[in-house]
Amino acid sequence: MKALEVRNVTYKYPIARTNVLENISFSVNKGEFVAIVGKNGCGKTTLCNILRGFIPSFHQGKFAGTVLINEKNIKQMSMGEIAVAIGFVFQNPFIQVSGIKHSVFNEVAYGLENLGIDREEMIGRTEQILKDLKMNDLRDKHPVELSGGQRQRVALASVLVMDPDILIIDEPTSQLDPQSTEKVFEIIRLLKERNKTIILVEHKIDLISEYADRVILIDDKRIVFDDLTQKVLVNKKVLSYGVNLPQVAKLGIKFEEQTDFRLDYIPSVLTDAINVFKKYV
Amino acid sequence: MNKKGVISRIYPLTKLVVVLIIALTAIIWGDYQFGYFIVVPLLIFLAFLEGKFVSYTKKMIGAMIIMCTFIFIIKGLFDPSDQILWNFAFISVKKAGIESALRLTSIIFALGGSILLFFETTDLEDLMIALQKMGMSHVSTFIFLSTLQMIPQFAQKSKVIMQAQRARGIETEGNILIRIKAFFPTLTPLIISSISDIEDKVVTMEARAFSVEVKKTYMQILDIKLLDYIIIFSSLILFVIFLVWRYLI
Amino acid sequence: MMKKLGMVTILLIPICIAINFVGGQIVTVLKLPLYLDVIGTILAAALTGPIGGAIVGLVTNLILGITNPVLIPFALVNVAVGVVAGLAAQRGGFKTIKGTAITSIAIWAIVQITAVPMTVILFGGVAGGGASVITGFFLAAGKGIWEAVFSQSIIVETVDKIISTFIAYFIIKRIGASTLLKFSLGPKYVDEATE
Repeated sequence: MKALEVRNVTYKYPIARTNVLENISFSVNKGEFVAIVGKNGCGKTTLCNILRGFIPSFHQGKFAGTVLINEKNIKQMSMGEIAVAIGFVFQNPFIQVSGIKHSVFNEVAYGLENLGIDREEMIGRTEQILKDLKMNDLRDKHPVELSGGQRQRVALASVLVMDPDILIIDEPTSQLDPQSTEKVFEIIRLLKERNKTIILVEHKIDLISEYADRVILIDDKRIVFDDLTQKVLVNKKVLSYGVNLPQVAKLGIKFEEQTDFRLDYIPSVLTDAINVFKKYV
Repeated sequence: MNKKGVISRIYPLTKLVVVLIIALTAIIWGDYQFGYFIVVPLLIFLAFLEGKFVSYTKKMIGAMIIMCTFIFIIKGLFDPSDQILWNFAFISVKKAGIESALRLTSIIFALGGSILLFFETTDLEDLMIALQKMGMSHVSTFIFLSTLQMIPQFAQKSKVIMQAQRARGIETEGNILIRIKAFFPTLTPLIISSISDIEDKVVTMEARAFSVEVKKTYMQILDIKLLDYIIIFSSLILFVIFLVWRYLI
Repeated sequence: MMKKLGMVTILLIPICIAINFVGGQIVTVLKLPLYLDVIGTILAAALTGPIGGAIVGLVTNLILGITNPVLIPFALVNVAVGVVAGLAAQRGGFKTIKGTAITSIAIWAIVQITAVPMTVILFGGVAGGGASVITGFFLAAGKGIWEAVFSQSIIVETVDKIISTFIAYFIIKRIGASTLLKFSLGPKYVDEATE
């Protein structure tokens, strides 16, 4: 079953001269983990806003095309239905707080209050998500006192507590240090284990190669690659779109260029690399 | 919240009713003796019960002393009446002026003091939830609570900006024009960046299901207890007795 | 009424209330003989209209009232500023320097109309510390209470409200076009910028 589908989407911002995205079509299956890559300003964030329905409902401009969520047209869905179906987390950790709660626990529960969930269930779900995300040490802290990394995890928890099947995560680690990045990816790993559908925009290509099932590369308003991760992130052409390749893929490519050996395939993750290079040892 | 006092445990709207009744009584009564010798001591006693005697008295005086002093000065010195109470050199204090000032300030103390006591003993989040349960929109709650967090953050950031600007050589002292010019660069960057953040904040709030139209639930437990009904009922009865005594007898 | 506000307006209101507060605080730090405590009200009105302005005015004084209840009745003045600024904004009153000048006079006038009677009737002519000295000065010079408070108000409010209105105008000029477009009256200012 398809969790998300985009058909022929074209969009232009209100005061822009040209389109940001043109004729974008793709679909994401339930439980699939898709990474969206492309150089800065290529429209990745715009695409996330389209998938979540903020375009065209909040951002005006010229929008054409169709978005389906769980095979239902997003236009026919209420704000509540979308909020429960899709969790949305973006880059700036300092904006993603409600600004009205005094503890992380209450902050995380806020979405459930808005959904009108019973108090007992609300507490249970909040406890559970804080436990799952290993955030119990933060529960009584004031959201304002937290570091960027901690805030980003709280933002994730606040969305995950609503238990959406689909998650759109737009550059969650771009403003974080390596340690916090690792903690955020631990959460993303957990989501993958739970079979959530994940759309992730991210620049850290080694992490993508490790986790994503599929990679969509956007350049100059269009999708230029849309294929399995191990096929996209080993292709030299990717570099020409301003997107990096994983270290192991680069190693494989260099290895073929500088030796007479031909590898069975260019590896994109470490375990593959070991398999590929084993026979030369 | 830290340990709650006696009055803090009462339902917010119960207190609001009591405060309104006290204030109305003071206005209707009109004599300054009532305000100064009954209402104000009563308020201070209630604050004492709550364990906030010092902070409450300080706040009450701090909020009203300047205003009331000036009322005495302006009314006492410049009342158009003739009857003079005291004479100091060229200054003469009018009797009617002082009486009118006593009346006015006693009402200000009674009214202002009641409101202060209400807020001193009421968690604002509880108040907003109580109002929301009465049917007020959760949007009002959000605006109010968000503002309460925003003000200190804004003040903090403006301080940082002002220090940064001093470091960059923008003068914040000197003649009045220089100081007016310093105002603009202190406030505007803060305003512009906050307003630019609104777009992302909208996304945040929608992701937390803010606009979903269902009956909201609350993490806080806030229930009207029997004691609240007793308090509301008895103060209403007392108020009616007072009205009857005042106007019918 | 609250439910009809757009999310953008809902999020703008707390910011504008904070602007009112911090404006008043910075004035104290810089030791200026001004209030500059309604810039947020005017800004909200200019971007979203009279309702947004009125809410900012109301909540500002309600929150001030938590620590200083004497200021609660003056919510009326702040609300009136929001309404007048909002009505002016709907008619393009913040689009040009000239328009802003006219708006500032309207705001100044509504402050006089609302604040003077309130001060005289509710507080016997007393409005805060410093301003009351001026009132006292006029009274000592033999003026009546109405005339004294009115003269005081003209002295204290005129420059203040004109500067406040112009600060709001200059702030709008600095907000990016894409952000402006999100506010209900925003398009008014964007057309101006692209012409």
